[in-house]
Amino acid sequence: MQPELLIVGDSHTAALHEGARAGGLRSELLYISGNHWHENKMLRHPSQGLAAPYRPGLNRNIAAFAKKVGGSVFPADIPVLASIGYHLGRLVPMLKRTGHSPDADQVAQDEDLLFISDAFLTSYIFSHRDALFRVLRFARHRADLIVVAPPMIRSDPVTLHCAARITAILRDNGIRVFDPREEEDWAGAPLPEHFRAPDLVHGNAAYGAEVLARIFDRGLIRKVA
Amino acid sequence: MPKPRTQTPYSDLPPQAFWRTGVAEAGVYGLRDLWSSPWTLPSDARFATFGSCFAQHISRALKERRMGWVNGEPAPFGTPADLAQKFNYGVFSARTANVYTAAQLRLLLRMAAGKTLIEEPELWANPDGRIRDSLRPSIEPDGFASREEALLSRQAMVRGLRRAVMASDVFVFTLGLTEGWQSADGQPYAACPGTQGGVFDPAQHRFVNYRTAAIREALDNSLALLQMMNPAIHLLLTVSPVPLTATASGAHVLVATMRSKSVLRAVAGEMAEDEPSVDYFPSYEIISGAPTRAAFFEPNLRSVVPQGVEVVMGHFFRGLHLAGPARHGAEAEVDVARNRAIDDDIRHEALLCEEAALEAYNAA
Repeated sequence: MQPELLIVGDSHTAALHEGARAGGLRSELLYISGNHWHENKMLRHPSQGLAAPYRPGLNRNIAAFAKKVGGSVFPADIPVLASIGYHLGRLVPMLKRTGHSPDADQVAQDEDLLFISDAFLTSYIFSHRDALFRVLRFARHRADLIVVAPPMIRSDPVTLHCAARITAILRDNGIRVFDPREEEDWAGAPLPEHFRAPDLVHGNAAYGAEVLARIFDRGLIRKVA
Repeated sequence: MPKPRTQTPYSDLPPQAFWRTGVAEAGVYGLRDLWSSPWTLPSDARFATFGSCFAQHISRALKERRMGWVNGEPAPFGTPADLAQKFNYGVFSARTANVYTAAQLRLLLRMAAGKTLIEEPELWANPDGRIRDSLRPSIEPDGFASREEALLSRQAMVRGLRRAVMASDVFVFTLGLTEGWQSADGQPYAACPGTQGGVFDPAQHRFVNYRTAAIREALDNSLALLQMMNPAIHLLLTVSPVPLTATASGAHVLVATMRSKSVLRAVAGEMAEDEPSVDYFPSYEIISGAPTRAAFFEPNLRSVVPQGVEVVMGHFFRGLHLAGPARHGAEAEVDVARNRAIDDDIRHEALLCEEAALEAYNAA
């Protein structure tokens, strides 16, 4: 039976997939480690949608998933939720390693930090994510696609800045984004406790279900008839 | 009968004390003992490099030889080389950009030492609304989005400069120009307003051609500020051999260049003679001296060719005395430990991510 929803991306797909299943949706999950996304080498593919030719094993998994769901990771007839482009657990520590922050308040409070401008941060993000942005630009023309930004459980200023900047870049590229930090009831504070996974990095199934409900309620992606 | 030679102060001098043997017969590549550092530095000595554009070559040579080049304001980890270059990371030991005059150096060090507020030096608003820092107008390719952002970036540079001073054994400063521009109340600029940012206003912006006394005072002040932040620091002065691009002095640019370099050379030499913690390294003589017949300049007779830089740095490294006991091991260990802790965090989070995803497959 054809799936009703595809969920593609890093470890944040887990909550979305669990939430979808809990809500009775036939969802299929393509999980690829954040480490692989962070390599910034993933390519768009004319038929299977996504490819990783430099990693044969991963590429086989992608091809198998594409075949299973009808030919492409980004099909025209099934909505796609993507957790792609952020991978903050890999990006942010690189900035922190050298003591850099784009956050004015944080830099003012900590003498050891070095400020980076928004122009630099944007260029830095592009240098580590541009291949993924190209995949998403390609995907948005092929599929009913929405990117779901990761939830923010630990309110680290560098992470918040990077996430907000990536959301802005995706939107500038015409890619729809559901960003939980922009939700009125979730903004400005860590994700409510009952939506958190025990690892304090991810959302849980209830969070995934809530995100899906909000996306569908607002018609951000269509439900398969 | 040959006349007996009279003993004079020149009788026992080595070959390099005589032009014929020291220069004419030696040739450019045969020059020996041009410089010998008066200091015995630790074997793991650290160098901070600042100054005019020629100082970049010193930074690069130290980096290439892994010679303890201090970077107080590095690019974020994982920054590609072209991006770092575009935003002027890794050129000097902090993102000061070119520091052409002693007056500029003094102002920067005053900020690093907390003697001048970071907000004091001017910011320039461009007609497009972008903001430029009057101390380093081209530090970001498109300027800053706001005054706040420009000041935060300047603060990072000042922190980086302070770190570089505190972490280094030798502060290498390459004097570039005597000509400069300053505000009506005396703030030195990195460039004439209107050339790289800002708008030139003859009522507000003044040309200055610093004379020896003013340069010496600025360098004396700079040395005091350096020693306030790091009592053990040494100041190694060099003079850039790169001629002026243009002069606003009214003189011919060749005459203005020779005036500028001669004044700088004289001040640097005298300061090195006066202060035990100051020395002069003759990069200017090596590139610009008669033996090269200008062969170390590009056809524009201004830019220095890589072979010239190589010869300069060869003399530099041969003249160093790094026989003292190492003193930076503990700092290196702290860096390694901090990086290891961050790497552990990344690995831990990656593990959490894998587990979260595996659990999702389990639920499926």
